[in-house]
Amino acid sequence: MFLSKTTRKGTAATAVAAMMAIAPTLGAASPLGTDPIRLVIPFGPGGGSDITARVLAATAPEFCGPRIDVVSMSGAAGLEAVNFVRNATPNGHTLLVTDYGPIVTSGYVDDVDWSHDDWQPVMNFTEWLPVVYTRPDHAIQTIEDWVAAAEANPDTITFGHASPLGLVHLPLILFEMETGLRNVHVPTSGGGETRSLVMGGHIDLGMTLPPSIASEVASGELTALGVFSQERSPILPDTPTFVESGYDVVLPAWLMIFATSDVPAETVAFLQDCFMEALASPTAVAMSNRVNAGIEPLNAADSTALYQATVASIGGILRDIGEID
Amino acid sequence: MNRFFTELLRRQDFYTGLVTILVGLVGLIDIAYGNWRPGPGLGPHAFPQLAYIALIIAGLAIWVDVARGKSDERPDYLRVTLFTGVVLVAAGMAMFWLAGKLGLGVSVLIALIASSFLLTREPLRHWPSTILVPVLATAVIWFLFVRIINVPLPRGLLF
Amino acid sequence: MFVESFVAALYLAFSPEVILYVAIGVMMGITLGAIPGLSGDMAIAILLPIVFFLEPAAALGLLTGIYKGGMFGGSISAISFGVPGTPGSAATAIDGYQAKLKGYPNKALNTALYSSVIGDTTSDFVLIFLALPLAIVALTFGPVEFFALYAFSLLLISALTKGKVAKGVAMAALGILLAMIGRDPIGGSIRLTFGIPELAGGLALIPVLVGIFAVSELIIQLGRAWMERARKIVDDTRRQAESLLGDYDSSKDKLTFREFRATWRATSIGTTMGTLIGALPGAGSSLAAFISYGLAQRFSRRGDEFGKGSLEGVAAAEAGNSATSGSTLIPLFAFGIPGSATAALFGAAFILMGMTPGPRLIYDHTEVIYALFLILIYANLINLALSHFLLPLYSKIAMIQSRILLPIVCVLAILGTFAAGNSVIDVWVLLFAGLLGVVLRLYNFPLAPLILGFIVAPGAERALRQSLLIGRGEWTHLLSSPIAIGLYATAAIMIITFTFVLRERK
Repeated sequence: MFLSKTTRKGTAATAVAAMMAIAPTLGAASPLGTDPIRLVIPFGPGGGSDITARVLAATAPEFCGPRIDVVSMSGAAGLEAVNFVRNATPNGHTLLVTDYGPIVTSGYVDDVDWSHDDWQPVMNFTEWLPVVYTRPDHAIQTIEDWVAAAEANPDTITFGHASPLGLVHLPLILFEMETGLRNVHVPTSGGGETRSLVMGGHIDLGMTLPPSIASEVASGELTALGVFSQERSPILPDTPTFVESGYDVVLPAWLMIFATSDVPAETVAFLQDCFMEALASPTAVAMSNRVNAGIEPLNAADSTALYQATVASIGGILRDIGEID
Repeated sequence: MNRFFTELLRRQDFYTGLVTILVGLVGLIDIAYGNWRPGPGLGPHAFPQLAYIALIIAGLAIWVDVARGKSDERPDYLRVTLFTGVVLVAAGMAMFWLAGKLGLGVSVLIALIASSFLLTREPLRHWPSTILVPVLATAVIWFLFVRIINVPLPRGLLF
Repeated sequence: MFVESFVAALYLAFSPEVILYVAIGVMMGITLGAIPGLSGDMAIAILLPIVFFLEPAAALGLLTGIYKGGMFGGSISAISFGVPGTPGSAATAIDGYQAKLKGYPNKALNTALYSSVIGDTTSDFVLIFLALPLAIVALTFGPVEFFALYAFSLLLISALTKGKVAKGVAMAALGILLAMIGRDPIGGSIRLTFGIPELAGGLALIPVLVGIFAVSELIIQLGRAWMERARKIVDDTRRQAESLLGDYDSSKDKLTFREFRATWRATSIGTTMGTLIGALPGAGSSLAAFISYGLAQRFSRRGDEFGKGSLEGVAAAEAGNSATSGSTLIPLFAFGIPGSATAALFGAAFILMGMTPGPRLIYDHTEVIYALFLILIYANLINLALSHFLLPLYSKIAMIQSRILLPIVCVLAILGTFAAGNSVIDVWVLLFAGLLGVVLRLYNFPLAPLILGFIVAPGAERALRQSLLIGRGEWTHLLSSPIAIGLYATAAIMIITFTFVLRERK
């Protein structure tokens, strides 16, 4: 009881402090007014990005002022969402919530009229760690089994992944570049199809993001082989990383909020502060735990560093496989 | 024999068949000489190729039907309908463009009143259906799309 | 244990609050489903955040109500204006609209309602009692089996063409080509976009379907309305001035029990096919509706009336469409795999409520899931009751003079399509698909095979190429599964049987 009271007081105090810190630079008015904020996601509704963005949309209005709408625009493979945010008035009311696919990868391989520098991260929600999995009665149950089987019979192990060059395909490419192994890549229409192919025994391995298989792994209906990250996934604590097995393949997928670079710095700072506060609130933490979103917010500066690192590493991979020059 | 061919040329479906075959041929030429990247498992061109071949076969089958005397008639009201189509497409685009300038409500109202006036004789005498109904409909549409759904159209100046 | 949970679920499901939410949901679903482009899915997506704030049973009741209402609502505009309100109701439009033109919209709407509720309820019972066995069957469907299913469904082109097989094949090919626009799902390269970067994501189903079927119909009707005005036909003036409804006589337009009983065969074909296809991840309600329609025509004693306002056609399509609604949740409940857009949204709703979709769901949250099962069943009754009162009104709306109604339907189609995907490109696609549809209609090309090709092609291509990848390029791999061989054999038998049957009839 005592604890929760102080926390609440503490949050309130931070909020007041933040308001006071911003107030002098902006005058009396909040930079956001009353028009709703739109969080535009370049995917269809119902997926992980949508659910995570909705946690913010449900909790942030209290801290930021206006109402927040999550808008799903999956047209033109997500590029329509990116362009919508790009062409909106740069006042911080239209923000893009995306993983690196539609912004970093597309910025390289698609014919777009913006560059990676035209975007500034506002904050980062979380890092998803791509995980390789299979069914429990399959001969391959560990990373070592997989490597051994692929070395013995190259081009025989079928590996399901969502759209080519997406975030659950690039780690496989990187792993194959690192090890020289060869698998049969079977693109699917998404995580659901990959999973039914793996469970139905039609393919050997699949890749997905941890929240979607966590409960099946816990109950023994699926086996997670390994995670492409530096640290183990908090959702799959018993699954080793590829680094632990001696393969330096790390390609986590973040979920970041972006503004265009012409949005004023103080607006971005205000948004960052109120979003971070909202996500630290007890309601948001409870929601995040309930939906297994694993939200661990990063501020604008850290997100920018992460973004730039990803731009560099994805650029490297795409150059190596000859997608770009 | 000669009359047989001139008769064929007069049939409507001779030309629909011809267009079908031409589309298929152009597509096949594009697949043979165009810039198609190879891809895993048959490649991206396999299904389009199949469709083009199906088009050519279908076109030839239409010709066979024509030769057996089975052809659809020349469509009625061809020009009027096509003209309406082009007008509707243009009007739809204009309404959408206007929605970004003036606002959704205003442009929907303009579109509804303008079209009721075009479709009704003596529009002013029938004002309940040419003015009142559009105003009510606009109010409902505005409430549904702007207030409830909040469609992400660029905001206009008015409503 | 079971009895306790069941009683608790009864209290949850039949609390006045939950019943109210279900009723609100059904109302919203019917209304939104009736607007071309808008569907229950979209309303569910918009209302997802509400599950943060409502009790689970109430939230699920609202979403279920919307979903079921939307399933039937689509057929209202399909029958009334020839404009399918949702992708699933495209097949309903074929005969439903013809029935309306003949002056009996109310019969068609009632047939649609009853067959929809029958299909839906059956499918819900299958979900509740047969989820696991059916789900295991669904899992045995891999690329090889799916390709056989898609190949089988393309066979039905001949059923959808009514003697214009050549033109039907051309249209199916065109539908396949339209579906190929955009990114190649296997290799990732861009094809057939004619240099327009906005087309890289491909054409979405809703704008193509609403455009080809609905906008083209609207254009033709608008053209006719314009000519009626220009030609100054005397008795027409009188009719126009007389009343809003023209000469529609609603007393002659009542569905008798005998008429409905005549559609039982079509309804049961639709119910069976819809339930089975709905359980397969990724196949979808529009495919179920077309397959049911095609099969019902083949097995009907009056197959030649299909396409001319046959109530059997309406019943088959609508039962097939609605019967996917319960079974589409089977893969979600059994394995946590969302088999359709709707199932994905229900999955998201479960996740937002802190319940992970999958086999554990029913053990971890027994009461809520039992309550959901109860809601799934009684929502059909609410749908039936509400629609029963509303249908006379809808059939009157359907008969309002076109000069008043057409512009409003046009505007709704454009805005609804935009709102469904929040995409400007979708609106352009809608309008141009409408123009294409007009040209094709004018030259007597049947449109249903085009839509069938468009629906089937992406899945068929993916399944075929995945099969070849998995089978290392060996075509014999396509025959490696008994289910696939069974499907091919059925197709062959059907072709042979129907060629003979047709010959004999002649």
